[in-house]
Parts: sequence; C-alpha cells; structure tokens
Amino acid sequence: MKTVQIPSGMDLTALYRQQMGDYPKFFKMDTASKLGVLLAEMLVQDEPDRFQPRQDRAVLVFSRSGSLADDTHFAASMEDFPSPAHFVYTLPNTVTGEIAIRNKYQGETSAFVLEAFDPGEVMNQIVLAFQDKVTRSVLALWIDAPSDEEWTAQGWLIDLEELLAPPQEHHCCHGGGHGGGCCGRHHHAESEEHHCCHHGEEGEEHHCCHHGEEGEEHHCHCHDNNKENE
Amino acid sequence: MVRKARNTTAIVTTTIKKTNKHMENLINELKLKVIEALNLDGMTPEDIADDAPLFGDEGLGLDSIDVLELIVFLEKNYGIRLANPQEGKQVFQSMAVMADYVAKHRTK
Repeated sequence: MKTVQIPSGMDLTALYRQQMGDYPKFFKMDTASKLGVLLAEMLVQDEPDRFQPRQDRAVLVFSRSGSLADDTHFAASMEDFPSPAHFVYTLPNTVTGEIAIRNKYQGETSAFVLEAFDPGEVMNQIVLAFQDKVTRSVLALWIDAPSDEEWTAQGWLIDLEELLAPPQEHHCCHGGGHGGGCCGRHHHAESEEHHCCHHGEEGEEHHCCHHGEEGEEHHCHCHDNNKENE
Repeated sequence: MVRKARNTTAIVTTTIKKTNKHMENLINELKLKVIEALNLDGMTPEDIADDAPLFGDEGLGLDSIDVLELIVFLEKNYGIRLANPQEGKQVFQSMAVMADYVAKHRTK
C-alpha cells in the first residue's frame, strides 16, 4: 500500500507546478478537488502507461466537510450573479470525477461524507469496492477541507493482490536454495537469523520453515503435493 | 513627394504600433480579469499564451460551464451581450480573439 499526504496550508499551486505542471484545468478547481488530483498524482505518477484508460481502479473519496468551502463561495456569489464556475464544485463527489478525468479511470467512483475520519469504515468501503470482480486497485482518499486554508488530506493506493498476499510480519526470504529468490512464511524468534525459501510453482502448495541459527546452513522444507523437498 | 510618402509611412507605422500596444494592454487586462472571474487561483497572465485555445486540454482547460461565466463577464465588464452561447465559443477561442472582439464591440 502506498500512502501520501498534503500538509494543511501548503501552497497548492507550488505543489502543482512541482508534481504536474501540465494540467491547466487544475487552476479552476476548488480546494478539495485540487487536493484530490494532487494526492492521486503523487500516488500514481510513476506507473507505466498511467494515462491508458482503465476500468479496474476505483476512486473512493471520504470527507467530513464535503464541498462546504466551495458552497460558501457559491453562496457569496449569489449576492451578485451566481457563479457557474463555483456552482460546478458544489457537490462532494466532484473530486472523484476530476481524478477520473485526469487519469482516464472508467471504473467505480464514490464519495462518502462521514461524521469524522473512521478507518474502519474506510477499510470497509475499500473491501466492498473489490467485490465487483472488475476492481483490482483502489485509490482511497480522505480529504477534509472546510476552508481554502485548512485541511487534512491523505491518500492510499491499494492493490487487490496486496490484500490477498500473506501477512508481511512473518515473511522471510533467502536468495539461495530451491531456485532461489522466493518467499514463504516463517515465524521467527526475536534476534534469530531467519531465512526460509521456496520457489513456489503455480498450483503448488509451498511452505517452508527453518529456524536458522547463526553460522548455520539454511534449509528449506517445501511441500509439493505432499512430496517434501529439501 | 518622397517626403510626403515617408511621412505617411511613419504615421502608419506609429498607428500600427499604437494599435498593437493597445491590443497588448487589452489582452493583459482580459487575462487578469478572466483569472479573477473564473477563480483560476494561482494562475498568472504569463501562464496563458495569447493564442492558446481557451478550451480543451491543450489550452486553459475551460468547458461549457465557463462559457456561461465568460458571457456574464463580457456583459458586466464591457457591456457586450452574447445571446447565443454558441457565438461565445467563437469569441472565446483565445485571449487574442477575445480581445479583438471586445475592442470592436465594447460599449463601456
């Protein structure tokens, strides 16, 4: 999982020029959308083929204040002439659209207004987004910008493969052994040298465990269709 | 005869220079006012090329909603009424085109 954040009060124009610089539509956006587009940019800008249209990435935006800052600007403009430029940002889900347009995402987009930041609910919605058999990646953002000067803005990029992968706490690797460069799960004791490896083939059951002591040869015990290799 | 021709050339050159200067000033004025009217927060006049398209990804990135904003903008600032939004798309091709239109049609 990749995580980024934009500190409150940061100069967003300077950040835009540093991170993007090629998307003038940015200047039109309300603060929440600017934060969303910048967070997304920071999360995905290194991806190959990033501007290829794709349907397998969902965009989920969570907020407390929604579009309140722009709502306030629009309300003020109504005293003279209601501003269409402000009006288009008076919805909390506009930010999801801006991110999707910029990055050519054609998958699920959702916006949620919560009473407060709720990691459990965020995770719950991320898991739900993966249920549609299309979504393989989720861009999840917490953007709360009650004004143009103050906000909290954080983003996460989660791939389905990561969620399905074994927990990382009991992870061990070893470059040698059976084909080398493979990983399995290993529960190791503190301060113990620990290596265990197995080059898992597709469809093969693979487990390997070894409590390596310092200076000791490392061994892998692998199960391949009930046949143990060493 | 030659002197008269030289004087005429000088007058024409001066007029062109004055017109160019006038247009340059008007384009800059429009850029500043459009940035304010469309809330292009953080953008500067230098970010907008005179001939760059105002709509679409290559230019300023404006869309049909912004046409409405610019129509209101022309009426409030220069007394120009555009009844048809389609006409607006022609007028708002670029800052240079808009400045030319404003110079020819303004009532204030």
